[in-house]
Amino acid sequence: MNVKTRFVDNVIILDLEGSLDRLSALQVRQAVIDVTKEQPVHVVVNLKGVDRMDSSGLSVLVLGLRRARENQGNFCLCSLQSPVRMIFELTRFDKVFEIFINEEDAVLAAASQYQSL
Amino acid sequence: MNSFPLVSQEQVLSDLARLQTEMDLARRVQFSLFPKIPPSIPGLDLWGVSRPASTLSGDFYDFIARPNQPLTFFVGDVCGMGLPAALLMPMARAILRAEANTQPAPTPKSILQSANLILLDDLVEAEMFVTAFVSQYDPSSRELLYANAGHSPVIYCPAGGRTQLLKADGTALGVLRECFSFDQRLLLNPGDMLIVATDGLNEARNSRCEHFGVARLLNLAQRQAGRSAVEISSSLIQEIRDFCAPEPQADDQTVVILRCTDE
Repeated sequence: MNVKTRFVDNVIILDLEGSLDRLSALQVRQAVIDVTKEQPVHVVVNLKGVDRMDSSGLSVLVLGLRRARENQGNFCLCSLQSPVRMIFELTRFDKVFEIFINEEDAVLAAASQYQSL
Repeated sequence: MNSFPLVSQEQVLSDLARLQTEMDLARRVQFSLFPKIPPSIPGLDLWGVSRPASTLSGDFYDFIARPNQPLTFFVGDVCGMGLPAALLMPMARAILRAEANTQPAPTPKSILQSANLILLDDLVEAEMFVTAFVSQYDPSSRELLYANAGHSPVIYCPAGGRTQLLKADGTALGVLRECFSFDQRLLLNPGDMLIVATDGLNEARNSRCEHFGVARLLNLAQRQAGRSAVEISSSLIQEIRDFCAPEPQADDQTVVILRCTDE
């Protein structure tokens, strides 16, 4: 799993590439913890490069969402590939996360919330 | 200079043996929480099996059959593997059982909603969640009432028709204060079948890092017409084992088969 962090405006983008599963969950968990340390924090996880995800991956994203909310922040997802989107739909985690088709929309949503804080 | 106290090889071996004994005892206790045999319900061929990936499991299933009441059954999966998930599994199972047994008029939705509120704080603290499919089957009407908190895969196989995945209606337990689950109805005709499994089946992986996947699972389910519930569960588990060989089983695998018969 490749994990990269960058900033767009005041939003942290977490780029993930590979399979977000039990093998990579610990590595991504640490990255999620690192980017949700500050207060307030707004994160967009770009899943464009994630071809597969399992419940361990979902668990890490839920952790990120909780931590961001605890820090008065937002935690959005974007650019889900079809197999990953299917997992969100089957398990109804699409009701839990704000999911956007592309990064621009996700950043806009996160940034607008940022300005309102 | 090493400042750690020296431990003899005998001591290490003794500690390991004690730990192994405790794990074996824990496994025995956990195993006792699974149904020995499914209840006998008129017009229903029922079977369940659970295979832990290691000593202890985060998966669970149960049947609750009481006179003059619909059969209640549930399948759940504590997200995560090994010891942490296994520690929470009996708690999740016990709460679902208690809600099913003590609510004045329980439905799958009410069972899941109460369980979610009870489990929420502990699951948040533990950074875990539980997916659960809860169902009630009335043999007199052949009606299945179910609610699904984030659980997948659930496969509906109508006799002579195409298999289909039933999506969850609510979010997993331990994620949000509201789990959104609602009661849904499914009329089962003779030959219809429901397969409620855990993701250890479709996420099983071979040495080429290929997952067994939902599509293969659906195709496999489609080919099971005419077989008994126990034969179908054995066939699913064996096909997945063959697909993954020689890779060891990486996640807990549980499957409950409910097949409507002509009786």
